[in-house]
Amino acid sequence: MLNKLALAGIKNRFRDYAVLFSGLIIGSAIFYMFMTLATNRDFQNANSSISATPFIFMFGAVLLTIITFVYIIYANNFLLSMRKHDYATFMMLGAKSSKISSLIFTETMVIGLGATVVGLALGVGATALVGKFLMQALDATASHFAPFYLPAILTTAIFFVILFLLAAIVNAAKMRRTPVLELLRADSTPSRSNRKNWQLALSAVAGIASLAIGYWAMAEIAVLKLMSIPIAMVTIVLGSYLLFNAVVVAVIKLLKRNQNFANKGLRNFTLSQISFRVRSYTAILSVVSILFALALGAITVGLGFYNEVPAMAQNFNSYALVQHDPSPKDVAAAKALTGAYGQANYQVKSNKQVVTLRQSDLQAHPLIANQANGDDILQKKVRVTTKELTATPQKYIEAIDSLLIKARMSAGAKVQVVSDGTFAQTPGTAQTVRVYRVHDLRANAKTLTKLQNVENKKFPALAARGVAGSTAASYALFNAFCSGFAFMGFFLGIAFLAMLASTLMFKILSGADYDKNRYQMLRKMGVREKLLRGSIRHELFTLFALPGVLGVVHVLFGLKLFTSLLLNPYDKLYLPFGIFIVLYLLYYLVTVWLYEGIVLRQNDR
Amino acid sequence: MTASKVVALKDINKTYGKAGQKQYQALKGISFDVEPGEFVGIMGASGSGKTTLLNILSTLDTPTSGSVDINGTDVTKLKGDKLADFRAKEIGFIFQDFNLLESLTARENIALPLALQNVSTKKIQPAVEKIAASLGISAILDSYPSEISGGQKQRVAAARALVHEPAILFGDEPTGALDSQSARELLETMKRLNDEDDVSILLVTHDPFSASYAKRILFIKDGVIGKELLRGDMPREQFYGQILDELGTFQK
Repeated sequence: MLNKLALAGIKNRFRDYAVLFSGLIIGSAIFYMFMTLATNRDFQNANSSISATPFIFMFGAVLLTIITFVYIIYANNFLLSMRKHDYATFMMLGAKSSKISSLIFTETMVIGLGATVVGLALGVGATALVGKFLMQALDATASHFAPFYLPAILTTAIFFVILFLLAAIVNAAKMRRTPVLELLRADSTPSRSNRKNWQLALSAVAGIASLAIGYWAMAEIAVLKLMSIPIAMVTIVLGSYLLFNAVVVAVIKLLKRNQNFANKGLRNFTLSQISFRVRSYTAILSVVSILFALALGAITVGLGFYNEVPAMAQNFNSYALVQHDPSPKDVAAAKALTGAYGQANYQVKSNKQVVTLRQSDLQAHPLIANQANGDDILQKKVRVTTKELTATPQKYIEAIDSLLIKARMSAGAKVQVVSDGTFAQTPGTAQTVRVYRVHDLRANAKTLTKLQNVENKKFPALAARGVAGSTAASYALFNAFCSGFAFMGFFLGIAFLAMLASTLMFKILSGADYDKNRYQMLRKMGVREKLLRGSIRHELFTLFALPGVLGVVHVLFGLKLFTSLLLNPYDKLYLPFGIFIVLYLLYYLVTVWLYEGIVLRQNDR
Repeated sequence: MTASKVVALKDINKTYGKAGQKQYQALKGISFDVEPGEFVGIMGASGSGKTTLLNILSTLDTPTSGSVDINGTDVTKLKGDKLADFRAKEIGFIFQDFNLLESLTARENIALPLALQNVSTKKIQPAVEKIAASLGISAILDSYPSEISGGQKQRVAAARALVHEPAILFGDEPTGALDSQSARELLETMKRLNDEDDVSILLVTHDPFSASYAKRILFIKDGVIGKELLRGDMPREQFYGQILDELGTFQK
């Protein structure tokens, strides 16, 4: 009978259960997604040349475990808050508390295990889908990447079974220990903040100090080596916590003191809600700010690596493509390049001793050479005048060799620039060379590789020169090197984002049942629906924005960690930040929608 | 014609359940008026329809047919924002379970109706102080609801219901959760507000003692008004006895 009642309870609140269930599914799916990378050593070794990679993944795994643990606690609280009233009613009707305990134990386990199984299936699917999509989008070659990876499945399954077992035990114990009356009238009563101003100030100063230490540790990675990561992790978590605790409460105090501001519509209520929330949310907000930083950081770094490929590939080659003695068909094929510019024809003659160029060609189209640009790894491309070329030919070896099939200059040949008449009488193999440059290397990568393959087939010596032989070859090399990183970055970024937003969402939703009364009360007092919704939106927006803002700051400092790996970690930040903020906003909107559905639900009318 | 009345109910019917399904008629053609400055009690047992009636009066529910005029406005015709605004301006509420917002101090709770009407801050504070003084809660204005007693909570609720000077104050068993001393104090206060400040009050209760503070009592049973009792110049204690007598026969 009671089982039937319990089932009926679930049916009545199907929507809330759907939220809970899908949340748990997301949790286990993401955990699995991460584990496919974290437990796959072959993948890590194949895609990263850095010895620290397994260490970083291990660290990530520990972090994700803690976060998942917290996440399950919140989801579990949400479940308990929904069921409390029903179970208390059963108890009042005379159900034995041992019966109730076993009932809620079974319920928690069934929901948890069901979610884990579905989550694993979803995780495999999502891993395959995200993996495939990312590989295609990033043009990545993540070898040994396996969406279905048994060790990951086992790890995830065991981890979640243990978690839910714990949750079930806790739930059962909680139900047994709490008096029936309290369960029936469970309410969260906000209490006065007893913190003095000097305590707030102290907390703020301590928070800023720990953040400063964390940021410093990340900037000094060259000195601290791997130690900088744990140092930063601890100090930044602590700093975020203290800062949230102090600053938000203080700011709200100030805002409330400004009567002209606070006494408008529902502002006072909204502010009080936020300050009440922030105090009980401090821990979760700081965890979320860290997760936010990790997710955004991962995506930013991933994108950094991705953007690095074309820049690095073009860094050592003067031209995107060089055609030797092209047939009209070859020239026509090169029209497929988009945004090609700087096309030029050169007549060259070369043998082991000397490379001969025509002055008229060079005057019409000066050679393009790479020149060191201060300390920057990226070189600048300059036009070489005939005078400079003849004066210091050794400075332009790369530019001249790139026109030839064999690297004559590197092998010690000399260069001469002659008039058209003299050129005809110069000894050596004569060739007509046509060069191309492109603005967007990535967009042209496929075409370039195809055209280069034609050249390599005609002149096998070109292929033998490897990376120095063509831009296509160096693109392939850098792409292989960077795309593994880019893949990991994006993959983890998406996983962390989903996790963080769900954590916040659940924390908020688990309190929704308590908040319901407040909003109903306000409605009775004659608060307009629009104003109520506005208040909810402001409150939730603040809860989303606070960790978001702090997370962005964390990332801005955290990118320092990558200065040795990336050319410029701070390049084009608007792109990853933009993508990320849009996704984060979507999560905010979904949370508002679900929350409003719970607290503004009208039973009558 | 009805403009001079604070509340004018005409032929209110309320039927629950959709047509064709099993229906239940909670109110069957109820009509009555409340004059300005009147203190009216509505008595009835559980299931008599008094909660439905109060929900309709307080615009939280709509009647199936009939009209409800409050301060000259037919509230059954109001919807959405207009309805919310009307509720905020013209109606004051006190409930059995106080319904204070726990995250706000007493002062902030009381100020809320004024803030909702965008009254300027300069006017809000004196208004809050004044009503708090008249209800004897000046000392606890900066406490949170969790820090004060039930009687004090209900006074804060009353202050919140009256601070914006509504046309009428509705009480839904306001003494239901109070001890007898606090209940008596609250009722005395309501009586004084009615006597001295001409606040119109409509009190729904099943407690004869609370009802004895009213000047006129309507007895409701099975969705109709069965009997009306006027106090006239009778002392309250005597009126109380009369109510008890009436209940004895009315509920038979």
